[in-house]
Amino acid sequence: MNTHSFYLTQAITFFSALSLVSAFGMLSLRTLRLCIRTYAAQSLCLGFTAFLLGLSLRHYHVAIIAMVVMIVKGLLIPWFLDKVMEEVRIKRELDPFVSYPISMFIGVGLALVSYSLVDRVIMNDPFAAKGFSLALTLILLGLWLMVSRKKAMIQVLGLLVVENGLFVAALSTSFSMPMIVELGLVFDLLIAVVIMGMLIFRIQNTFSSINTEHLNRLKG
Amino acid sequence: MKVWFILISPFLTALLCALGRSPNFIQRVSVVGSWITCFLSGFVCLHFLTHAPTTLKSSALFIDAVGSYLAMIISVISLLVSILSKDFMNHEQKLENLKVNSYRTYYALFHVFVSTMLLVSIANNLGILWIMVEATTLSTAFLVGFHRHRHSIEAAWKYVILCSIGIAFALFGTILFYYSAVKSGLGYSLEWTTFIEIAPQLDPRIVKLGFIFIILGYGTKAGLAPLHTWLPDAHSQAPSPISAMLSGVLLTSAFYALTRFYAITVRCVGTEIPGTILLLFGCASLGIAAPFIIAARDYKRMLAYSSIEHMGLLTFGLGIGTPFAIYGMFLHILSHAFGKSLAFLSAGRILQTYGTRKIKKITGTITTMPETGISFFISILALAGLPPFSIFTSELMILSAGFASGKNWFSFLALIFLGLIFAGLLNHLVHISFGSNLQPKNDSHPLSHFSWNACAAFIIVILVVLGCWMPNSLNAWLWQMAQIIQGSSHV
Repeated sequence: MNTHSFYLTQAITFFSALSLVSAFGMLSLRTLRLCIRTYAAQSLCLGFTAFLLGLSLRHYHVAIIAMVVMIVKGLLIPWFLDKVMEEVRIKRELDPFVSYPISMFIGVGLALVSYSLVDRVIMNDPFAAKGFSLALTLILLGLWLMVSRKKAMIQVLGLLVVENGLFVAALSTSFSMPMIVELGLVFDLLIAVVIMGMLIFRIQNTFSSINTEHLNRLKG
Repeated sequence: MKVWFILISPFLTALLCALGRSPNFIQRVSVVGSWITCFLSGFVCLHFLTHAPTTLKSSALFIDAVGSYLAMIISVISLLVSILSKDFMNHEQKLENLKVNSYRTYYALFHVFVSTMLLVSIANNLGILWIMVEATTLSTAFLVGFHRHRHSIEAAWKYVILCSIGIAFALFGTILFYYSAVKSGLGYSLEWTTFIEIAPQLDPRIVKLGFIFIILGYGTKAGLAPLHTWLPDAHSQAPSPISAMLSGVLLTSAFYALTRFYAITVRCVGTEIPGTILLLFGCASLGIAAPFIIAARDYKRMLAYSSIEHMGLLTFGLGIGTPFAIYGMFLHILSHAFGKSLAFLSAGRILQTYGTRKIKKITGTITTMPETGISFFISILALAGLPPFSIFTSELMILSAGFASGKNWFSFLALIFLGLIFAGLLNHLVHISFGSNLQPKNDSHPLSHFSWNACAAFIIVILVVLGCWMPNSLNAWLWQMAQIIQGSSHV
């Protein structure tokens, strides 16, 4: 391994660690605005990691996908969510179901679970093992974000974190899936976010709040 | 002749509906488009079924016996629903004074929905399969939330969030399958046909883990308990024609994706482990559906839980995994799709006439509105599993295959749940259908007669005929599908 690729490996490790940190950041941040920013930072980190990987291993289709991901997930989706927030005018998220310290604690537990689970299934392939562990952690943290908060917007962000985890997973299978599939996934995600944004408008207009607690009438 | 010809018609119809200027025009385009879709997919399927071997090239799209079966069910049911949507829209028009924009949304999304499902049925690339299953969720989000009141917004939100998150697991499973293929050194391909060939060489641990995620993912979309929580809300709040589509074909499409992965998994790890997981999910769905059906207060929710029941039965059949069970399962897919669509469509007409979803408040539909009442009566009898309807035949096949393959406990459990569900359904059915006449509450838009009678009769004839007699061609078709999924040829 020469110095050049040594620095590259370091950079990749650094940025993927940063994406993990940002997921924990979203668990602890109290304003939705900041959560959206953190999500953008996370997507940019992951996109940049993928870009470096693609360049260093000469998988140029990965680099192209990484650029699309950075533009869509890092810029377009956060911008749209910001717009939605402006329209519904809700700044603070004061009332989670679970208090912040406990939420963090559970998040750490989930990370440990996913690292130990992946270690048992995927052997003899350190790169994939690392990637899948990170992916599963992000997926579980995203799910946890969704169930532990009340605001509809946070549920969308949780879903987006899960999707980022899936992106990492696809990247770990020796450098992402066929290009058409990856692009299809990004496009799907974009439409999903737009539809969810429109539904948030409707929820706000009907219930004058985006607390999902109000959405509990249908039973039986 | 290309496979994607199947998509031309629904796609163009959606476009025309989105651009249409008047409600009448949009409705006509929709019906004509659905007829063309139906004939075109019939034509394509027939062509590829009779020229089967040449088409199994490696490509992103392909069609085989299973895919064409699904495509035919989708296009026939979408035709019926498209014809009968007119009643629903007229009624809404009168009630809420719809603008032409609502017509555009409804019909355009309807046909987009049909095209995404048809793409599911012809996708060979498992990534594209996933994208299209997710696209079905996205295209139906606003159809579920078509009424803009509180309940339907709640239903639409739960539907989108839960299905998207559930389906994310399926993507993770797909990625694991892809990883196992890459790792075995057999190529960078996501194509199902390739997977089927290389399945024995895949790493069984990764495939098992992947299959669990696939069940969680596509199982959420197919409404398997305990992942079904979105289903009763979405199915009861959606406009009734859309409920018919959701229940009849959308769940089936998601289940179809599951069978594709099952086919890969059994070729790699055998039937034992995936079979047991599926049996557990199947029994859980039957077990969840039973008490909710018995205690149902809202007849559309009752039908929704009945969908969970039938999806559970399909999963059960797949879990047993013998060719005969899978044969029965595919027959069950067809009969359930038709039976449930008829039930939801009749329920929609009852809802329009009486303006209430409460079972308690409705009596004597057979005498007050015989056309609807009788078809509701017959469809529920069929769904409850009474002979001479084909659901009885397929349930019998699945359960007897269960006992024959030594899964006695599971089969016995399933039988008990089916008995409970039967009692529950019939109890509510008798209350709704018979008893004192109740005058319709609101003066609703007059319902269509000819088209309703024709569609209902068509469905009932199919259910009865398949219950009594199996045409040779369908028999061969079903065996071929069982062989594709299960891997061994029947004796």
